[in-house]
Amino acid sequence: MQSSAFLDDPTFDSSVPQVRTDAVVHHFDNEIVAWSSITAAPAYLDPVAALALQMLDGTASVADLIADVHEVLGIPKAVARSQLRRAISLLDDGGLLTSSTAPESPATDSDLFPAPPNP
Amino acid sequence: MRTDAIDLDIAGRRVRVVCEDPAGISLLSSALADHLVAEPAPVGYSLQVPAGNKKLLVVLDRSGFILARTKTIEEGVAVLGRHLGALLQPPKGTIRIRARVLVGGDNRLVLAGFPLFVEPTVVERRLERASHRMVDRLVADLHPDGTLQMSAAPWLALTGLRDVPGHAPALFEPTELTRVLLPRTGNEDSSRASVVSFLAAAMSPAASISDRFALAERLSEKCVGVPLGDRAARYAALPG
Repeated sequence: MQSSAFLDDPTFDSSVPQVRTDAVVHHFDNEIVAWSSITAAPAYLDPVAALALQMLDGTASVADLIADVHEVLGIPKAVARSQLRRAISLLDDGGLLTSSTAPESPATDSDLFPAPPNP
Repeated sequence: MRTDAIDLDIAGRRVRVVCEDPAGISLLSSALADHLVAEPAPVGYSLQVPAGNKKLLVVLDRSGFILARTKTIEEGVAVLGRHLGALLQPPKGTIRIRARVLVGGDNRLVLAGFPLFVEPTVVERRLERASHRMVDRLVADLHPDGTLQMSAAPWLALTGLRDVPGHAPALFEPTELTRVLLPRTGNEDSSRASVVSFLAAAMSPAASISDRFALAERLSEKCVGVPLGDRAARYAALPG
């Protein structure tokens, strides 16, 4: 899967990532397992990524979120930014953002598995 | 060393078996006559005869994983025949998962997530000392309620050749699992969320996402983490 462009872009702070609405989401305390409709496997989200999943509603920019986290939790802005970047990257890898692209799907036999070993 | 091969079509899945022992090819060809095809198929398994100072025949899968080390070609072919059974359609209503099944006393079943009991190579003698045998499949078929049921390989001329120490045929009667072992890389046990994620990702996409989630959550209740770095830990994790 190719990462969303804004993750490596100088415009990261001004970007407004949005979570896809068609993912199946299961909560386990403060962690989440989310399964996007465009990926073959679910994504495990640690507490920070799980929080990000719930915050990225397509209205707040990354800069807004950094400011919120800094204000509410007292975390330095640089740390908050770094944590958010990692969390958003996890969501992107899991195909959970509207900007995420579907990975190339290998030829697969649905009763077996696409990669070695044999069943 | 002369190497022969046969190409097979089993339930629409094509696979080549390479064998260094003519007796093995002969056994396989006669038992699987209905499945032989002329068109070359991708290599799936190979049987290698002992070479150098090694005394055991080795059954390998296409990735190079050692599936068995046996004393005779009959034992090797029996193990291979059981593995070929995984190419048959799974029992109706089951969800396939990449995991190994082990059978203990009183038919107690243990499910082991990949790569446990695949890599490093299982030492059959150690498994027997732990009073368990491994089912000759690298997948398991589970009903949504978590009970295991596998399609039996119908080639008795192969699978019934020998009782192979440390190995067991597929179980076609629905049976409840006793324990689920999952690989653990760190010192701490994995969280329930990461266990569910691991299990669901190991399941066949033939099942719906909601069914995979439900089964993964059910299995996670029986999970025990096994450190990957400790080669002996997997044997110790089997129920006594």
